[in-house]
Amino acid sequence: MTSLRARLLVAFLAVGLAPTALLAVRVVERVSHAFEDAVRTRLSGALGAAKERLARLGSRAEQQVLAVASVDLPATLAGADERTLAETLGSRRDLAALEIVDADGRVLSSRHWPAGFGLQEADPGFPGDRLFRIEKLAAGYGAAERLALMPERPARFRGKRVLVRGGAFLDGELLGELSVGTQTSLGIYDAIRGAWHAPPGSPLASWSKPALGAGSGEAELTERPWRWAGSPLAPGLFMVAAVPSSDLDRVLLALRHDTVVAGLLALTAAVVAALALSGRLSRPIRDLAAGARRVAQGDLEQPLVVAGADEIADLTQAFAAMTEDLRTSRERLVQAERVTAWREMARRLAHELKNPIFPIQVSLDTLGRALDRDPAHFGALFRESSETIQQELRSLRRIVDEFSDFARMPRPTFAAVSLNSVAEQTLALYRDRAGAVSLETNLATALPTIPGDRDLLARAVGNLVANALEAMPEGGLLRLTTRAAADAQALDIYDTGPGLSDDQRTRLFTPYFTTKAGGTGLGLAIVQGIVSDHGGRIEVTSSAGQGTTFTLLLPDKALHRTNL
Amino acid sequence: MLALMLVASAARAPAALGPLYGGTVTVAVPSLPAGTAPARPATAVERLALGLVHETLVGISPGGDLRPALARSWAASAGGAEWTLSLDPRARFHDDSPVTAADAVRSIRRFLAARTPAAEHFRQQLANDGALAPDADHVLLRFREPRPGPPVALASLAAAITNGRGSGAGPFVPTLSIPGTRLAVTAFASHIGGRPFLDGLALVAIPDADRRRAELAAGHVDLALGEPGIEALASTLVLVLDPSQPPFGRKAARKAVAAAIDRATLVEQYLPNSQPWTLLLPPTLAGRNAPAPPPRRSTDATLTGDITLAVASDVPATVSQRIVAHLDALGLRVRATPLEPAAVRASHAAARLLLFTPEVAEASLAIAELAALVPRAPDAALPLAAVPVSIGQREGVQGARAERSGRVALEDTWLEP
Repeated sequence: MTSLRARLLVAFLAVGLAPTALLAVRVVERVSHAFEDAVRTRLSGALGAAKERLARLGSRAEQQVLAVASVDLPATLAGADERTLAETLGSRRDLAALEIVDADGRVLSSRHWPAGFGLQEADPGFPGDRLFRIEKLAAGYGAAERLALMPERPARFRGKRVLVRGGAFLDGELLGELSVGTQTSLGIYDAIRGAWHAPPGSPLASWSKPALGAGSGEAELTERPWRWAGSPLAPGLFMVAAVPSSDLDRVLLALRHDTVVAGLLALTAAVVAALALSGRLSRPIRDLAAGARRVAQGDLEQPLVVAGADEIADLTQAFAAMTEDLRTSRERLVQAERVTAWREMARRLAHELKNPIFPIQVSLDTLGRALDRDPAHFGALFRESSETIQQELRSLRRIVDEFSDFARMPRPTFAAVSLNSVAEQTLALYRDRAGAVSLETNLATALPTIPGDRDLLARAVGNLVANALEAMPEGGLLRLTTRAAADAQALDIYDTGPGLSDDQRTRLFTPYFTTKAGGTGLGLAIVQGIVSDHGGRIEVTSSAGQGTTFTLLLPDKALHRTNL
Repeated sequence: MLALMLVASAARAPAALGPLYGGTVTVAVPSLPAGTAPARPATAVERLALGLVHETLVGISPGGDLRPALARSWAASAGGAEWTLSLDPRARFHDDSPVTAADAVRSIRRFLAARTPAAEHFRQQLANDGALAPDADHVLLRFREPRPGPPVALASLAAAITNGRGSGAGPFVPTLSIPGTRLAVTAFASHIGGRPFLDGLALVAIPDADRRRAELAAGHVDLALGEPGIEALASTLVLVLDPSQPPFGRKAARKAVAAAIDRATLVEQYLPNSQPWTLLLPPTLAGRNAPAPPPRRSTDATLTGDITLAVASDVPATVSQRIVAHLDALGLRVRATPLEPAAVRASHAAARLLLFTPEVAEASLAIAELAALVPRAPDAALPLAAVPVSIGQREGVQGARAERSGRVALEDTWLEP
């Protein structure tokens, strides 16, 4: 993936994902708020329904107590047992709680706590409220305390002022009914005594010292989060409704899950779209860049395809035109170079051939004249001339062989070759011819083999060693050094000869260029051809009077374009 | 007229004939004991059931004196420090084996190991290894100090004599026991007191008092425990306050409770067959002259705090509620907890409400038992009412009686034809 494409991809994803994430958060928030509102509505509805039910109970109890006070008590027979009176009247008026208290606060009769007759009524109420009370009622071997809704009415009974108090217990059964009806957990909290009145098993009963002043909130009950709302019934008495937060949490969890899934789907779609779009946008640029790289590598043959009509197409069009111009120019240059090379070769060939031809010509002319004018010496002259002719013909043969060698340079056959071995064996061939030249090697240890043609490399090295020896007729130092280089192995051939001028160094590898009197100028051309066929290159470090170093840089891995 | 007199005479004839053998009666009881092994009976039902199945060496006469039972006589030696009880040669166990001195000594040793007030009293008097069987017919008891007679503790049902196979020697042989539901016994022909008139008895558990009453009225049961009829004021309803626990550590608090409880109203409303009572011993032991209830005093005193009231399960719940109401009116918050009677005796609750029925119906032993039961502090034990053991009977059932020990005795019961 190109960096441009990566940047485009990142940009697309950023642009695409940010709104998605924002939207997801917003949706979760909105749903959460909506659910919170629904929970609040449900709790307040439950409280409203429960208080309405209590109001109905209170209203009914008011009527029944009024009936007891104004109808039943006056009609009670004089001989009726006071102690069972409350049971009788309570049963008749369906008042679960009913007590008749005298002016001194002593219980004359009680339906729910008959054991208290004749004793001071001491059940507590709530400050400023005359409706809710904590009443004792008979339970097992003792008494239980229950919250009761008990309106009261003054009355007269057997000539005495009494108070009739009756109603219903707000016990677990009633609150359980309300809880079922409102689908909440309902309870009543007595803040004065710190006690809950709730159905059996209600989570509210486990809530110790609740702070109900806020009217609603969250609380940890039975190790689970709950949402609650409360409403005062009397000073210090609160009706509380609660629902487990797990409902909301479940919805929010599902919503978050769906949002994550949707986000992942969106992310996947965005990645795919971004990949496609960035690929589509960057392809012309990548094609253009690839074309530029090909041109830079000298490949001017593959035309750039121009597609579309946008700015990139214009640029591609211009680049293609430029490439075409380059290709045309290169062809012209190649043709010119060919012509120049042919001319140079013709000149060199003519020069090389002319040199031996001339002595041959002279020898033949001399023999002709001698045959006519001095037959006596013809034989000796013939032998001398034929020797000269033979010598020049050998020169011609050598010239032809060199040209033939250059023309028939074989393609390398690659195998694993040790550059150190090539250097040592080549140098060994030239020890006899070294004369006054000292031969040295400085070979790198543990140098791995490289792919190469041993014979060709030896020939190339041999050419350079021969050149170096010839450059030091008076003696000097020839040193072969091998070393590892970047992705390659290097062989340095150093001599202490006179060195090369800048002009010589520039033209060094031009065929037929030579600094030697009898050279053809093909030796270094052959060396360059061999090294080039190995995918390597030659570097020359030299200056006049400073000696010369030829460095062969050969790749240490096989080239893909090797002709194995 | 003569004919009518003859007919009337004929109708009364069976009664005039006296007790008759035969028949089976059903007794409704509030509950049934878990077993019939000798033990200190905690309730009237246990006293009834154990008394049917078991017999002791000696008994307590209606006058409070020792009477022969499995031991027909006793004689002193060593200046009263040793007493030898002679077993009745007719005494036999339910499996028809003779009652031997070895059986008696083994039973006495079992009794000595029991944790009952009478057993404790007996342990304190008997010398080490003081129960011996010099021969098959005599039991020798050696005491630490001379005594005027054999200990009355031997009359405890916990000291009943059994043989090595667990057989008792009471007037009835247990034949069927359905725990919690029914206990059936049949007459034991070889009982030391003679074969009971009835062929058998069935005790059936009917927890609800109204239903027991209804069953008796309908004639579905012949006798009903706890119903008015034959009764003896054998128990005392006692409220025990623990002076070591607040608020009863203060004498004023205990006095306030003592003054607050209106015994007359309590009895009138909730214990109709009982008497307001101010002595710890029940009238059967304290004497027939019931003390007058104390004058009512002001109960304006107020107390604070939470207390636990342990209530024996044989105390009526309404009575407990009334006591709770009194304590509540004084300002105490009371948590009433029903317990088995034996558990209430051992309870460490700040207040206990129980029916005191002595293990053995003998005054000195009952006083010793009370001393272990109630704290020695003024107003720490408040006797509230003398409560009867009673048994209601349908017409035609004769001979049932309530003993001063609180036991309902049915071995002399017989059915009119």
